[in-house]
Amino acid sequence: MTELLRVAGLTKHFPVGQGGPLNRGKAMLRAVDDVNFGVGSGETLGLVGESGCGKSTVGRMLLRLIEPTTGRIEFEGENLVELAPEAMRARRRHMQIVFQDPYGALNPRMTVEDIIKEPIEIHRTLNGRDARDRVLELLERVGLVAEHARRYPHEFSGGQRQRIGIARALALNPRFIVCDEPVSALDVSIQAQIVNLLQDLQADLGLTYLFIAHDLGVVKHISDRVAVMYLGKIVEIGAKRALYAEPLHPYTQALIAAVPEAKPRASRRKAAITGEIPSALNPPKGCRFHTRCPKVMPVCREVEPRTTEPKPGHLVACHLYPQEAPAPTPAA
Amino acid sequence: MSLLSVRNLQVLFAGEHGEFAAVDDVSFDLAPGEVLGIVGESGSGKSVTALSIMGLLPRPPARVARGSIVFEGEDLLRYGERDLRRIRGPGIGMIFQEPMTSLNPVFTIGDQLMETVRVHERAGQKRQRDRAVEMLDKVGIAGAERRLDDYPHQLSGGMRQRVMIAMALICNPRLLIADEPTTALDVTIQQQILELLLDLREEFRMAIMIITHNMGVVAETADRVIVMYAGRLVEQAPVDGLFARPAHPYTRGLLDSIPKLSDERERLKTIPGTLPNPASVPPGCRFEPRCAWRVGACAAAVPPLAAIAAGHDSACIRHRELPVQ
Repeated sequence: MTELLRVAGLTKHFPVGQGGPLNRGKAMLRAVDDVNFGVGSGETLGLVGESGCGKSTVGRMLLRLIEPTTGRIEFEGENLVELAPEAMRARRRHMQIVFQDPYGALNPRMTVEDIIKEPIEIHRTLNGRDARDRVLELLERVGLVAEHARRYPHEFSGGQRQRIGIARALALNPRFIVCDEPVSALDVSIQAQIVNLLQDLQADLGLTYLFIAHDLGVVKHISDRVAVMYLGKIVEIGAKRALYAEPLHPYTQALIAAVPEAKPRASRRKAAITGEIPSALNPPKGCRFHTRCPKVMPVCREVEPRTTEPKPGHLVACHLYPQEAPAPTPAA
Repeated sequence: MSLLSVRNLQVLFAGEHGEFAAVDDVSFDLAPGEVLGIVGESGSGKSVTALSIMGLLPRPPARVARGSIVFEGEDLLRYGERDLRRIRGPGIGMIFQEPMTSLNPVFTIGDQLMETVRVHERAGQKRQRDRAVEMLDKVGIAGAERRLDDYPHQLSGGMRQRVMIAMALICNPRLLIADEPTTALDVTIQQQILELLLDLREEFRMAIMIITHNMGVVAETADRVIVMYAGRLVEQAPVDGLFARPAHPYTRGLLDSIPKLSDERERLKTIPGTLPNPASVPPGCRFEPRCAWRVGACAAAVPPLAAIAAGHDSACIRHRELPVQ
């Protein structure tokens, strides 16, 4: 599989204004810290983690909706971080995003037709009649009908609004879509419809997804490979079967164990990890997970673990695994 | 004997085009010490049911049009605000999805916990403080003594939910209503809070009504489950029976549409269509327009609850014909 996207050393530190101008910028929120991964063409990479782990910041940086502090984002071999704003805007035709809250992402004063047409008009890919035909084609593509074109977002249910958001993201025939918690706000019976739609679109249009979510079940279902983030770092990345069947990192193990399964009593057990997620303003020294890790060792409190590859294609950043050989980075 | 007995509850909301029933003809019981799960999606009426029990419905637009809610032998619907206040706290406590909506941002958590003790026990200052510390300790807040002076915004979401639980339990209620208590929390914190609730249930010997959209949460916590759809109770069963032999097409659809960690299917099964608009629900079975098993009779009349097994009821006229799963 050829790589469509490769991210290296991606980092985002937000300066946090604390009071007056004299000490502004002294505190740094280390939202994303030295993140590396690749996404193959036509693949879905799942990105999971709890709130504040930096997963959404990663997604937005890929499209430079948030500017990275440092790092490279290579899309089809070109480093997007170095592009001038005009050139970057042109690249965004090929890279789109679908947000969690379809209501917040759709302008309530625009009709569905105008919402879907907007990117076409901005990029001037089609005109007049053709643009309108394209809107109707997209509506049908996402399971809506032509008569919906004249309506406004508030007339739709949450699931239908997410379909509108997806139609808009597809308007310019992108190759890559960041799906940022696209089903988290939806009712359970509607979630499955949207997940199936995203999979159908991928199969038909050859799309590549970065699928960001906190729901491990949904991520497992839709992804080919999965990356797990904790406090701004990727702690583990691997093929989904291997990662779920044999998670290497204690955090991944805890995360999977914490999912309540729809099997009575079988799954009633003690919490795998205690404590809360530390602040990204002041992340723990050494391994960032050491304050909650059930397998913590002295070295974890001092030394940040390197990313290694204990099994082919399965990378982990944890002192439980031999540290001497650094991972050959391009493998992921 | 039931701790709580809800009979034929109907709650109407005033809408643009007249009143509609957000909860319609709902009946169920809750035994002392039992954990009852109420599952449903948006508009199912699960939260409205809980608010009716607490006497906390927004009135207007809501009103209870019919039914009874009997708690320890007394019909709460006949009570005025003053009597309800006597029940809330020592009788029934409640926690919500978003603790910030229930905690007052301008008072310390100590003030709020101590006030609760003061109101319900008329205890002195020292006793109030001791109780507050004791409760924070019980809900797993480390350094409880120091935490009394914290304001709600200084706490994480998980910690706030623990404080909410401490406030609800400080009067030792016989029933705790937990409305989506972990929905806003991360999965590792959710697990801690659910475990805490079950531990406290043992310790306080209280019943819990846990309202959630998450089938996994129900499976891990409940003794018995009620499934609601569009304002109606469609199925109720002991938790094992519900997951082993779901007897309503909606319950089956809901269980099938969840992607499970243990499963390898290529496609998810879906329930077609969308949830009905509460103001214009189908006349017969409310699930009929989305149901793969529908026949003419389903749209004609509201299906009654029929017994499938001991304690297991389904509001589906074709429940006998559904294939065994």
